[in-house]
Amino acid sequence: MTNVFKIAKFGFNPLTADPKDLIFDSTLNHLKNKIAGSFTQTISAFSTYTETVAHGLGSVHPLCMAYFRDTSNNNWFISFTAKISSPPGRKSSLLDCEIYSDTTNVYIKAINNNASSKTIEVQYEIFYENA
Amino acid sequence: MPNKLLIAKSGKSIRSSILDDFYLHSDYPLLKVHDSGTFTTLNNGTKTINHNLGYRPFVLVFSQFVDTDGFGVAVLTTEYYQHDWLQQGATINYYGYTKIYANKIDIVTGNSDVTTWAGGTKGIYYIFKDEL
Repeated sequence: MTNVFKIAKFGFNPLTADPKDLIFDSTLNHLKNKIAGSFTQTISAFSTYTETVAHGLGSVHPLCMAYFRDTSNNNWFISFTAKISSPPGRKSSLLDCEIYSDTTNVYIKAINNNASSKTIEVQYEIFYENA
Repeated sequence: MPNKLLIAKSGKSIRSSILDDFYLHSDYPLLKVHDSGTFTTLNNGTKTINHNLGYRPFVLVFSQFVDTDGFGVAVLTTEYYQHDWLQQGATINYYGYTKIYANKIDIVTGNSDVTTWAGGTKGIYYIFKDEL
């Protein structure tokens, strides 16, 4: 018999709790961070900047996430792929950030749809989990 | 007061107040993988993945993306882009998005003119046991 290690949320019994009410369950896979990084970049009006990060995971597409903000405020947004020919490509922000991958790299593309230059801060995570 | 289980990163104090200093902190749930895999959808196709969790889970989906070659011709990228995505062309819109239900997710890739794009679109998905 394999030993099982579980931590439940406060108020739940780890022996009976639904998996969504667990903090940790040794019988399940969890996201494991391969690379965590960030960059800050000033981007000219209606321009883009792409940060390339080698993931080193072999011939796979890794799971990844990114969040970003305009450095003039503290409102963080999740990355979003928006290819709309006439900006803005995103309702909530004239700044945008896409994240995508191939079997070598993860690419974080920052997009400035403003009529003036903007500085964007991006934080990203690349996980060991892939397919 | 409940007991805590903490695993700090190398060189970090177990008494740190910075969450990023920990691999595991029992006050904060880790995302728990319920199901993952690859998929291929056909033109304007929907790929349904049944998860049967009974609630809407946190989901991440990436798929190939339709770009243009600079001459107005649609091409499928080798890179996988985060859902949702939209490519607005001169006459045709291409899209990839994911709908999340209590017992399934529907991964949709396609375009507004089904006769013009016949290739399949490949991608990956992760469904977590964590509820939205």
